[in-house]
Amino acid sequence: MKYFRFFILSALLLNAAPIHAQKTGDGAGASTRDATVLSMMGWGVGLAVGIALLCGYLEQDTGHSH
Amino acid sequence: MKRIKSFLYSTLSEIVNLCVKASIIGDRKRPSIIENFHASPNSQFLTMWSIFLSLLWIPFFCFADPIAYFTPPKDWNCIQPPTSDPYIRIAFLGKGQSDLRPSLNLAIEKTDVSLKEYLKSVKSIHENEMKVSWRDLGPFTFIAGKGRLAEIISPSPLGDVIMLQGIFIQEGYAYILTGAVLKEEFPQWQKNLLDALHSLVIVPNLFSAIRDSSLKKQLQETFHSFDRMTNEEERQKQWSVLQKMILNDFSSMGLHWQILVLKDGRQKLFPDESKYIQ
Repeated sequence: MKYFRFFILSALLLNAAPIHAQKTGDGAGASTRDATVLSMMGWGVGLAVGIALLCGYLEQDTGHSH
Repeated sequence: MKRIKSFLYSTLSEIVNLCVKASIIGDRKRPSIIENFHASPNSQFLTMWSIFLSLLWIPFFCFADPIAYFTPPKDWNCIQPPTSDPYIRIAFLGKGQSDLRPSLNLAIEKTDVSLKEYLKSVKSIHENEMKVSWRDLGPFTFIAGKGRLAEIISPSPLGDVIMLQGIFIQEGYAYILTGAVLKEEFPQWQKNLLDALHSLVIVPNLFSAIRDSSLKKQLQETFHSFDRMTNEEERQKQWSVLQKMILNDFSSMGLHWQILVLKDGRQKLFPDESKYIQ
């Protein structure tokens, strides 16, 4: 039972730890900021990509040349 | 409720599975977890260890993000969001007539408050911290369910920007879709933005959104095959197959869904480069 108590307590403590602190509504604020910046950067942003994504990975359908 | 049920089921299955395995390893004659409490110290230890390992999975089930996607207006480009904000999941850019291009992004925030409380906070952040006008336009229906629509007006060097912000809360997550356009161009983009906001869908996994069962099975099998890939050449080949399949057979699912599936597939096929894919 000693093991049992130890493991359960450890697991509960791990699960009780907060993942990260945040303020309610921050997500909406970030979304507004992002939309504004994105629109203003406009054409300059072009397709500077991260995942641009995977669209960037997308194969060009060139077909066979022979 | 579905998520809670699925989480409980998964956790219980994991516990039972590991307990049974531990019981078999520890003492083949005693497969029951209850019996193992009275078994040898070795099997007791294994059983306890398996319970402990199972419980460690709880945070992953609890805090794994749900999958949300929407359909952006036709011919908009998916781009890397300009800010590295963890809330922003994806952004799209349209082709406007001026220097200020229309844009749309999706943010997801974990929250434990009601929609009413959340809106109160959002209004306060916009008006007090960001110093922009935020106006509640009333209820709004997403495909995912009922939420709220707001209008934000923000000045910019290129002219006033109007934003439509759709907010939807479900099972501990707030989904925020914000579309921005130049005020003068708003009438021509209004319908496109509202349609895009309305298209928000939340699903437990990417496959569950596929209605055609044969296509769903085909895609699932393709993903399962990734686990068997051993060499680079085989992976590259399978990556081409996946791309063609997603582009040709799943165009009706929309660009956002296609990107999510390709991203998921890429991460499974090339786990080493996952850190470079956002």
